[in-house]
Amino acid sequence: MLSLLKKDLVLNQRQFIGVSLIILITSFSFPTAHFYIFFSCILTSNLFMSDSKNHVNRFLQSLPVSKSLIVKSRFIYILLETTFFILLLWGINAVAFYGNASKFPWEQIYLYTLNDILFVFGIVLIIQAISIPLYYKFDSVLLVNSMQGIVGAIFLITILFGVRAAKANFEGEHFFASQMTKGLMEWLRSPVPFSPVVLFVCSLILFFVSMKGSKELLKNTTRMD
Amino acid sequence: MNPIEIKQVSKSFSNFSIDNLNLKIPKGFITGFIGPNGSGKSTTIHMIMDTLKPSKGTINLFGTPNEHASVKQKIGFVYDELYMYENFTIKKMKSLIAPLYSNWNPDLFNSYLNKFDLPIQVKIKEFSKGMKMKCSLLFALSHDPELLIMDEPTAGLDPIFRRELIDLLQELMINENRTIFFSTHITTDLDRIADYIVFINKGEVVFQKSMEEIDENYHLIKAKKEWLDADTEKLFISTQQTEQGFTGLFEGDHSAFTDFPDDVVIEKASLEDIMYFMTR
Repeated sequence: MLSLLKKDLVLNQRQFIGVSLIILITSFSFPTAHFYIFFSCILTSNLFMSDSKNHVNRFLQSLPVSKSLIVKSRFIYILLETTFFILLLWGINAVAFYGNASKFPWEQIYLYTLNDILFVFGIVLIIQAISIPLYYKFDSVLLVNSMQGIVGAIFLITILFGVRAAKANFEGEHFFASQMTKGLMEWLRSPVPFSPVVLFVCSLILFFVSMKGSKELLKNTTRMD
Repeated sequence: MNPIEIKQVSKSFSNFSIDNLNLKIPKGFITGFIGPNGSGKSTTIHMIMDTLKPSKGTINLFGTPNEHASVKQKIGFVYDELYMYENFTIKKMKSLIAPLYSNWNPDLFNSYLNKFDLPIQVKIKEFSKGMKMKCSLLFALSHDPELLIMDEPTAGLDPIFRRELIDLLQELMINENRTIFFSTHITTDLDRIADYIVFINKGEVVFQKSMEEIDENYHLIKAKKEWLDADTEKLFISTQQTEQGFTGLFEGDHSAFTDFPDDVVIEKASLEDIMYFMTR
């Protein structure tokens, strides 16, 4: 298990550092939580892109390691990675908010609430839970590219509409980055009929179900590379 | 106990199928798995390695169902390509693979690394076809496997490296418990080293015989055209006719033809001849 987790970390090493830096840098002025959703999904798809491109599943399944463990380790890695990013985001956000309060106006930085964090974490888990079984089912570079395109388009559209909605409340006034982030979070959460806690619990269950389903998909591979 | 036992295995694709395949690979020998391109060799090896699920039937490795990952501790595998992340180096691959084998032997790994003269810090994408094959062999052999499964390992390799590979396989067979199952469509690779041959065509096993049986039982008969009529043609598995005469693949006791030394030429059939005439 450990060597499989290590493999995914090595595989994602550069992107992992890159996303951590983006979170670090953008926490002061951009809606980082929104970026977090996008980058978490892209990093996951990159893992599967590398697998498909190099037909690695054939090699891995020939090693003395069960297919269940191959899938389980991938899910655990993704969960650890997304958890690390959300904690990093939350931590930096808190440090920036409290640490820089004396240097910057309060409005410059929006302090994420627990509900905000649970909401974005839940959204990421739901997207992963839906997309990962598809990656295992089709094991195709084209599918990964398509998913990245879809996630990218949704990211841009939600940024555009979310920021527009947030700005609408501040017509004629100075529009701070913190107001953009707050407005964007509210805009994102508005169509979801559950509380962030319920959404998060549901996303964890869905993630677990997705892992079980992915194991079965890999066990019953009926297609050759 | 046979290292590989395939019972009543079937698998269908849109344009190709394997029906009720039965196969037993004996322990301690090199078995060549031959057949033309698209005959089902790779599909069978995929199913043996449990990277492809058969529609029906069972596959046992050392008496254990092949779905049990633990049985792969005893297996080394070499495919036609090195299916590994192209940005990985041998060092990174080792850190992934070595911990998975309980009997991983670092000394053996280092000795093969030196023997194959492979760079440990260079990315796999920089490797030539021959280096990739050596890299596959390096990881396949470093846990001293009882069974080595190879799927078209010589495809695309130059004759010198092919010869080196064959020599290496011969060296490996000093260990009496070792079994090698080697699929190829380049049958000349097997003429020197194989003990048994499994011939597959269109998803069906045409025969499984020892090389001795093949040497004794299959001959090419060359004679003038006049020799060939409806009755004599039935004696051959198949024939090839030219302006000058015909060549036929004959199975069985060929002594009847030795009575006509001036009219008939009798030659031992190579695996390539057998494959050619049997798939016509």
